[in-house]
Amino acid sequence: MVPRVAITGYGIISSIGNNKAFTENSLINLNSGLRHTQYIDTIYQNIFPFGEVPYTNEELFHLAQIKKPIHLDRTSLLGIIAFKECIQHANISTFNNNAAFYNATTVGGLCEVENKYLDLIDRNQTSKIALDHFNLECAICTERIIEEVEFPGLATTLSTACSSSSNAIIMGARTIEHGISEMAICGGTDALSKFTINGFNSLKNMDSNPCAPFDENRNGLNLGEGAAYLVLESEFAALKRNATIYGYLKGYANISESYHATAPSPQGIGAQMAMQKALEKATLQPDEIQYINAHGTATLNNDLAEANAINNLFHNIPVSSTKPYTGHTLAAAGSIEAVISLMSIKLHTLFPTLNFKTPMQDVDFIPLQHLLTRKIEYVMSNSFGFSGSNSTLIFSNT
Amino acid sequence: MKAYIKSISCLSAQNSFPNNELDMLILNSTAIKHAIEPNYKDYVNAGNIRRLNRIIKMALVTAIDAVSCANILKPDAIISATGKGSLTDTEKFLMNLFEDHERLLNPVNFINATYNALNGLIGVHYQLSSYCNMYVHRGLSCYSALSDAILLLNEEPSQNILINAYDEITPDHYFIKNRLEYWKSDLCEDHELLNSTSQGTKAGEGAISMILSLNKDAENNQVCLELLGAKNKSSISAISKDLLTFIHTLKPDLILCGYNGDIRFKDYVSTLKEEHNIPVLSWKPLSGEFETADSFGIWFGHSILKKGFLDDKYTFLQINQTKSQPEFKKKIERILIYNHFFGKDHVVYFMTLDSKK
Amino acid sequence: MATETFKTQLKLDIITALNLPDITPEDINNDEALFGEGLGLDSIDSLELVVMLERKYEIKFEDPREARKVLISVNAIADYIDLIKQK
Repeated sequence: MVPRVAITGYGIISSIGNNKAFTENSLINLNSGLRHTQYIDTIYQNIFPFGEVPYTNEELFHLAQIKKPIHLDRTSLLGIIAFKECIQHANISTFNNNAAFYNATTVGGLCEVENKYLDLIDRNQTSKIALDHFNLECAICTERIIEEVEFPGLATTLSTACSSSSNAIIMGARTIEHGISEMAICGGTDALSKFTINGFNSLKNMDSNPCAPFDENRNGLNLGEGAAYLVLESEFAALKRNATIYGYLKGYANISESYHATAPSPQGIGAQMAMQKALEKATLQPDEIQYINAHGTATLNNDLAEANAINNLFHNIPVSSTKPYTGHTLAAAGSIEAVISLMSIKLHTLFPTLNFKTPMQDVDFIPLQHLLTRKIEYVMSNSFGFSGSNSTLIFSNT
Repeated sequence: MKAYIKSISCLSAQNSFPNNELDMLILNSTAIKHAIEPNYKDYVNAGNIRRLNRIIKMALVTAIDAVSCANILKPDAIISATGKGSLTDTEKFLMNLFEDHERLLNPVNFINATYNALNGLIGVHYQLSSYCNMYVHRGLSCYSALSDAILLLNEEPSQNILINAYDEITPDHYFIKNRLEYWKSDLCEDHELLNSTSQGTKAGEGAISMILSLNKDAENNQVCLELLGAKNKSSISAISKDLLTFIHTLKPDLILCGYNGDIRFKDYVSTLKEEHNIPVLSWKPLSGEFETADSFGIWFGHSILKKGFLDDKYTFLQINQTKSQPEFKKKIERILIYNHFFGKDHVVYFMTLDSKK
Repeated sequence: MATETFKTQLKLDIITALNLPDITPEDINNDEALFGEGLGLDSIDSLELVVMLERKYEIKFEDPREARKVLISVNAIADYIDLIKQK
């Protein structure tokens, strides 16, 4: 008997709030976190809007309530804050040794290393570097989180670009379904960095206005930062410890599309396959889904592909992208939007696509533009990454 | 948690490619054990790899070779593992960023620096629509990828899953890791590495791909790979206890460990050094040290199992004293593998050759 | 009017920027489509060409859509460079 995967807690930090309550508040009050960066020293400082968490690293350090006087990079700090909130929400005092942690990041400590890189490789400098001041590998960010919370189980790190933390959640679910762990903490974290800002700008994928997903005049994404984690637990274990269950992961899919190394097919074949496969896993029909939290990055390619895919599978379904609230938080996007999807179930509210004005000409598609009050049983959340990695999650209320 | 290795392919500092066995060893005192690159045009259209830097090309070649050697048209899923990804691309993009003050940046380096880039390329090569994942947890990356793959095989038993593990070293990254005291400060001969009394080791790099399946091929003896366990960190006593338990219950003919000559970590293999009945060898003098070097250990174990015994040329890799030479010469059918990465990311595997047809 | 020498140099720059293997300027027809059919370049190549044209020829494009209208063939690019230089 395959155990059902219950969600017994979650934590979140992004530009729209440093915890669940602030996040819900921003979503309901249509408050976007997009603004010019205060902390990244970039020539694009006053050009692109970013979904930046409005705290310095020192302030994040205090928010994270770090026990030891150690140095931590921004990605790790964001991760620790969200992780601590999620285990508190789940009312976990101690972990079993067989609990698993699946963390996702693309930037890791690069947000910090990039500022010291020229010094690090300067052949005139032969002095020793303190280990906690060099954190290029993604593993180190995961390590810092598990050291801070004293996590005893096995932790690992995934990175599949924009679908990373959705894939972390899928791995956690599979570990529970196979009976290997009873509990898996899953999600991701990414901080803004010059590397990713310039990377996406080199692809000419960034909008100098607040992003407008599914809009005819969309011009690209706005980068964001943040972290979110979910506690996945076998339903049996959750009930046994009297945990509150906030929802279930009913279905999921991870499937690649091989149209091109960086772009989806305009027909959205990969996106459609991911959504179709997730529905099959959930044993649901398309018309049973009440809301889709789209990937909706506002790039020319993604939105056309995703809209086509949704039209091919669904009829008259409310769809929105919440990236105009948070920005595109890269590896954390999957888990941040998973938490937002669970919030929509909790609050009986569908959140709008801010900044939408004009429908796309090439496809008949109008996203949700206003808050909509509705009891939701099933919500779908999409995260479609670079190199064709497409992941879809389906959450249920009961 | 086990599966059969249908095929395996390895590019490394040794002549491991494409014949999957080492006729002669490449040993020297260089600080870095650079991987020997193949003639890429033999495997893939030059136009398709024109944007790729070396480690991605290498991993693409071992992937294509592994698929071909498994006699399948395409894999059913791709799961990859790396510690640092394409460092060359990351470095180029960073340097570009600084030198050109964030202007006129080449997007190709950014795309290829993205950890999932290899999976995308393999997918396009085979026109695949499949499960794909990428693990980036340093010394646990390979174990995590294999773990994911075996779960997938249990969900869909007819599949053939492609696993890729790769890491490269660059001059700049070698320099940084030198400042972090990773490497030997003096030149060290490979055949002396395991006897070294100084800290640090030698850098290496490589790309290893394999096809995993639950279906045993009736014609060929296939190697079975089992995942025994992994830990992010561990005390020496806990590791020693675990290893003794595995030796006692599994009765391996050979133990391969990833001791790399860094004296700071000798205690992790102290139990193995005291083992007198079973030869304990390290593969690190052949491969050098890198985050996914356990995949080379798996390749090495695979080559020994296929041959059936240990070659004399490997005697310098032994870290223990076995009672008599015949122990070294006997038939090898069961191999225990233990590795860690600078005291963290401990992994244990078990490989067997089922000689019964 | 761009000369043959100029166009040959332009083709060399394209070959270098895109790392096109085993191709010489003689292999590229000045009228040949660069994208889709013909040379078969893709969207990443167009971004690389935009970077090359700005670095080497000081030609700046406002956005990728504008660039795509120019990057049709060697002749089209050469004519555009001519046009900009005359301003």
